Amino acid sequence: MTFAEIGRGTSDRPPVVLLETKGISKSFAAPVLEDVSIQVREGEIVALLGANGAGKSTLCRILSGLLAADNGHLLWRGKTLSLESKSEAQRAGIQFVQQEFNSIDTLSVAENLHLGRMPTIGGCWIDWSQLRAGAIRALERVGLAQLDPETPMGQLGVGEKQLVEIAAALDRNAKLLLLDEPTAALTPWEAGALFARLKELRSQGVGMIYVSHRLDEVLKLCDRAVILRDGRIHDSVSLLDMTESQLLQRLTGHPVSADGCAVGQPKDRASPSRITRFGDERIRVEGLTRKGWFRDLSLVVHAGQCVGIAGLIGSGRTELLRSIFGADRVDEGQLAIHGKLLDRPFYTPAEAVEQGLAFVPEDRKGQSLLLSKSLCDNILLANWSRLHARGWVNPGKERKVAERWVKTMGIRARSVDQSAATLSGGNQQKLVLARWMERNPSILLLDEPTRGIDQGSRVQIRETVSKMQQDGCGVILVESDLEELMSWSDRIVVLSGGRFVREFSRDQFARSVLEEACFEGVVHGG
Amino acid sequence: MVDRQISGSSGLDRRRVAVWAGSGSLLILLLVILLLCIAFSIAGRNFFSLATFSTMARGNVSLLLVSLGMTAVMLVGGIDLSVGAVMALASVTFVMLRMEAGLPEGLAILGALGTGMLCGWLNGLITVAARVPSFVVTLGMLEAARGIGLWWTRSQSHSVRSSIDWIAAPKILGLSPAVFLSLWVALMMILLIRRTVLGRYWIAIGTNAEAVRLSGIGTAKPTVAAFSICGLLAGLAGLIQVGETLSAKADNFAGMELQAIAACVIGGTSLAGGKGSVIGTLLGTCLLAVLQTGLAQLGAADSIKRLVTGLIIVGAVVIDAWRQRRVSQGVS
Repeated sequence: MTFAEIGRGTSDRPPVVLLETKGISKSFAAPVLEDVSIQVREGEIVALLGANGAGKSTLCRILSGLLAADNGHLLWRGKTLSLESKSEAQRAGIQFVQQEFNSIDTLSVAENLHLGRMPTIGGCWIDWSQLRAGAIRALERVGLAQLDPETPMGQLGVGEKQLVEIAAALDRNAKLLLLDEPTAALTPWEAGALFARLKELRSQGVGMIYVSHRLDEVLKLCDRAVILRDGRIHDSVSLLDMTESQLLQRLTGHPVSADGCAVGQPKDRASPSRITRFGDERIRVEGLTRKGWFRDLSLVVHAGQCVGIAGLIGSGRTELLRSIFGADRVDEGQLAIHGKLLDRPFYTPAEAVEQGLAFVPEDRKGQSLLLSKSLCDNILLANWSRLHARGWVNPGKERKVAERWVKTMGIRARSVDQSAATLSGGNQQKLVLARWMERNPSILLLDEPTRGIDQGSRVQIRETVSKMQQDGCGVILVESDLEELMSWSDRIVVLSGGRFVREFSRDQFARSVLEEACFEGVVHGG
Repeated sequence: MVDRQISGSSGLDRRRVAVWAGSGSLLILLLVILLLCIAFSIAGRNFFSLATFSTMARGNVSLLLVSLGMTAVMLVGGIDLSVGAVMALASVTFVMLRMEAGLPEGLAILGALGTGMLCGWLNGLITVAARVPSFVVTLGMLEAARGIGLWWTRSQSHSVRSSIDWIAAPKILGLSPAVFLSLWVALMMILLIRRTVLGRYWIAIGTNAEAVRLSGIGTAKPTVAAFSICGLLAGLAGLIQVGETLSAKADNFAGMELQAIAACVIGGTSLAGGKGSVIGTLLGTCLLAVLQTGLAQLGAADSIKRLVTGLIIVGAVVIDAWRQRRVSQGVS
């Protein structure tokens, strides 16, 4: 798709193009963005839509200079712009308002607004009067004139913080604002106030790229939507006179019937080697509730079965796994293991592991690995107390166990003494799986097990998990990549807006329906 | 997957290489200590003698014991600032139980060791239960232990008549039983850290406590155990000091915690946790001891001793950090 086509449909706008990207590509382990060309005009709000992992955040990071593109270039008001660093993007007038706040809670609002560019007297002393005056001016622009600039940032609500971040961006002379889910933490009332401000800024000629999962917001605010899918521009639509269901249809790429269900034929994915009849019940979750994340979730997993959980980032999928595993406290709900109801959910991961659960967290480096320690230590982490009776370590036995797993899992390593930090992401993840397999768990919780992992390791990890399933292990899988999720799972439940909104059996799997269900809770409920 | 797999001989060779690379810092440390000994022998003439070395060993038994405890605490990523105060409290406990309460020697010894361990256990328990930095908890313990000691002794020095002075008296080659006891403790600590599951847990917790927790291991018990052992060893150190002087005073041993931390850090123990060794701590203690004794024999003022010690501490850490970076870059 060319950018000429993309620009169509907004011909009544003044033709001053602020930013134009040509053929932006970026790949990490796999391509994330391919040949992305978009343009944003003065006084135009362009929505950037797409499922998880479609490349929205990566594109924003490239545009703001936080990340270098592999290919392609940027035109700023028709002139080529190299975005080597964030400050260069800022100088040009591109400001990125990120999802997480970058403010310092202990400093005042005025100081936060001027971070990195404090007005000074003689290059040394802070010019407090100018700081204050500048802050008042900046706050007025976002409608926070009543806010005292001396207030510590920490006393502000999330909505106010978000507005202060936007004020700081505008005060740095922003011509183009990149907004990544700015309403994620806001109440509807705060969001409404923010929209009023953004519309005002639009009339002042500020261009914006607006990333959001909430289609109702996008329709209220934006002029045009660019839809990313698997790193490519899938569609670009004018949002004039468009309804939510029409937009959803464009987003998921399939016709939608009146009640919001996709009409497309689901693909047949059943492969002959698959187990179709499952064994005994492994784990049953009943009415699990964690306030602020999800409520009343129920789920059953049988031996040999893989239940996939689909949901947008932030839908509470990770929190659900952590809560089942006892890593986070739950507010309400019950668990039954092997058909036996427990008195209470797990309070600690140690209790869960004792009952045969295993958990592979999403954040390998932060939550799974002892990076600076040997492969041997990493594999044995969950197994020391079992392997060594009476608490005395037998190093020979340890090495034998570790070496066996390195071999069976095909971990590329010179020796079991090298540190885990020296391995690739895929081999690190195999290390974590080996750690659990040595314990022979009956319930495996996987959170994005193949994220950022090369294709070869991905296949191996998949095979390993299948083997565990054949041995009677029940699996709960959280996975952003829907294709991957469909190929692993026997059943998929969709978590959206803190509830399971839909459930699909294998013959009902189709990307379009799943995608739609993921958005369901946020469109109708949020 | 046809990549080089682990095979018998080459794996063993690499293992040896890894062990050598890991102990590289310790070899350098040993070399520095030897060079210092030579330098002091040349400059001072009296330095290279059995009398000097045995006095030095006897005089640093307490530092070694406290540093060994500190190594355990630092492995789990904590720090114990209260060791000096706990030493003093333990020595006061012994003296007061013996003289004021008139308890038999054995019970007084148990009382002193128990007091040390109790303080350590409380340090660990509060750190774990309240999830607060051990730095602050043990700072509080430092003040509290001194307070209790001062209250109990009415801020006076008390002397004791006891047969425990045998522990600090020279026996073989001018070395006291306490020297052998401390070396035996060091050996036990080596076994504990390298050959027990508890030691494995300490290192793992200090490296990544969240990963340990999510692997289904309770991190509280091992952490409390490390603090308790540290307290127990501080109590033992206090007891040995009573044997030396046959007296106790509640505000003795100020600054002991910093010397112990210095000994650990010079020996390569990381303040961030997860890295450290008993041998390193032993060598770190030796370096401090040689430095202080040597400079004292040369007639250096206390000011000079402290200045040089300070430089050595920073120098050791800087060199170690620089080496670590080179090693990690080399591996890439």
